[in-house]
Amino acid sequence: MFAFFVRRLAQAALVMFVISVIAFSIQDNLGDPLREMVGQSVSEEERQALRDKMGLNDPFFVQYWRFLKNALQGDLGTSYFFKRPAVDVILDKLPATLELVFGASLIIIVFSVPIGVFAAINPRHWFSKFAMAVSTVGISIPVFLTAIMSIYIFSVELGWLPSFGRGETVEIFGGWTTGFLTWDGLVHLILPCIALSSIMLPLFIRLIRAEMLEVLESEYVKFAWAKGLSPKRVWFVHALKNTLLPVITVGGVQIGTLIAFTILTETVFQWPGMGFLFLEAVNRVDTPLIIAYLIVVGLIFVVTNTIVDLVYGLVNPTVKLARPHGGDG
Amino acid sequence: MRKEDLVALRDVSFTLDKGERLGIVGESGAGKSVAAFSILNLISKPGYISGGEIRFDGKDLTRLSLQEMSEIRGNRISMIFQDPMMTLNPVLTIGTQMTEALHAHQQISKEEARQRAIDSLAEVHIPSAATRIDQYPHELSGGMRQRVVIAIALITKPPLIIADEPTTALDVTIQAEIMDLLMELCNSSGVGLILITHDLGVISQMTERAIVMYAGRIVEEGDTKDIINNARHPYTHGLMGALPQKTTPGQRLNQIKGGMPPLNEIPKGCAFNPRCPLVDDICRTTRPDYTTMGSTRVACHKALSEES
Repeated sequence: MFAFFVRRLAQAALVMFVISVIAFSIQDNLGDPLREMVGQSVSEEERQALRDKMGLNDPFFVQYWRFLKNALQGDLGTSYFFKRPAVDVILDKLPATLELVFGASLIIIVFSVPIGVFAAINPRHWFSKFAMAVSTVGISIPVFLTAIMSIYIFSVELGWLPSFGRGETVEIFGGWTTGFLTWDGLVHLILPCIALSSIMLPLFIRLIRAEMLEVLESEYVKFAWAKGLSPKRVWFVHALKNTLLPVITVGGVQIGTLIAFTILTETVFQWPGMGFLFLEAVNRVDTPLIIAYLIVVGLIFVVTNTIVDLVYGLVNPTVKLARPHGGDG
Repeated sequence: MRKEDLVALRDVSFTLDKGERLGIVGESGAGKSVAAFSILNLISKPGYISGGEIRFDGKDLTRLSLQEMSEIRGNRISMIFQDPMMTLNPVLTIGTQMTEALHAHQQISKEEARQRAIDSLAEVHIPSAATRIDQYPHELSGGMRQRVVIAIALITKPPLIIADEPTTALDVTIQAEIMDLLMELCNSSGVGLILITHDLGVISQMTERAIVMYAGRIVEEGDTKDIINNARHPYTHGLMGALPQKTTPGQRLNQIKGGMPPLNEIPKGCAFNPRCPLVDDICRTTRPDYTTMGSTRVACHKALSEES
């Protein structure tokens, strides 16, 4: 286990290094941050002086080295717009985004597993055909359209659910604000979570169905039937566990994509999260904030994938996380 | 029968006495496995049993509900599959896969089931059974896994075991060990056996009676020693002649020319006629009925008598 962690940590460090280089090299191509920072009355000389003071005229490697040194101490620069450390600005918005992703993941897990399994067990049932048809449609509709349509139907026409914002939130341990503990917060979560899950849910239903169909045809499932086991045991003990192995892998990667997708959802619902913040930062050419966002999201990606690998090792006995003789696993 | 269905088995009729060992032999595609899997209604979809009867202990197995069938499967009739690498579930321990068969059919405590499983593993000569039981299939070799499969099949002490080519996926030295083990267990517990194989050598060692199948039909059936020593059907004859032992080293191996016809192209008359060395006009037009010759029953117009 320890060896696995060390190896994984080295991999993660490498990935983060590459992300930081890419994120940092973007900054020269985003436009002039000074145009957004200072008024029209500021002369060109003053602008040059400001650039020198901020180090924007230094060579790339000098700038990157300075950035890296600070970054390793947890300082990703100061947001031009908020005049606060970029990391702090992002961390303020992190709970909103993570709760949105958590809610969407919950919807995906709760619905995709039963529906996918049912459709695999009863491929000819009307509900299976219906679910497959709807999921094809679901995959093809972009998130922002689902989001706008759901606002139109449930907020504008029916007036059941709020259309923007997080609603009432409460602060729990050390600055984490949550919308899960108030009725108002929960109501505000419903539409954004549904919209965010609308792409992944059909994907997972289809994935689980396809995997399960394949597993149900396998020899070991046939052997399980030959043992005279109950259908429940064959489906949920013998088949489901094998079905979920590849699903876990895909799921780990998709959680990262889900976090990236929040940009669209958060924009439509004016959700005060990281994605919305990122889009504003791009509009304001707030380079430190953009870089900090990319690095934080990259970090989340790396962390979730490591967790998924750990879970996979627990579920799949043929994967050994640590070999006694240091073999590569 | 539905339109456009292909028939995999026709007129396949045989009986098996209690504790008797029966071999079913034939080339790939002859319908051996379909016949065996039909007994427990385990044929892969979209296959189905369109008619006929399968009687076991006085019950017609084709008419049972899934629930009733589950009580037969693994309890009264067990199966051993072809490839032990695929038969065991990779994510469940050996112990789980053994005890669940017991729990499905008997009221038995966890400790007792575990003890029975360990005993069962010891019976199939798996060393240190008490530690093996907590391992996963990938930690065992192919031969070991087939022993585990046999132990699972026997754990409920069923009166009949169906073994579908139990050694084809194993290497030659292991094959003999597994067959010896199977033979030993059948003898010691008096359990009946239906052994499917394309190895006539195995049939002659293991079974008392044998069935030769071709293109979904039985072409010859009788006491194993008669089938081996005195084959009546030209197909059986061909199979015997194709055994490597029959040719002197260095010579080309004998073969039956051609191949098993696919289900939608089974020839008129006797299905074997395009490949048969004794083919005659009648073979191409009329399907042969069964004739009894000594202990054997054979479907052939040109059935070989003892002199030939």
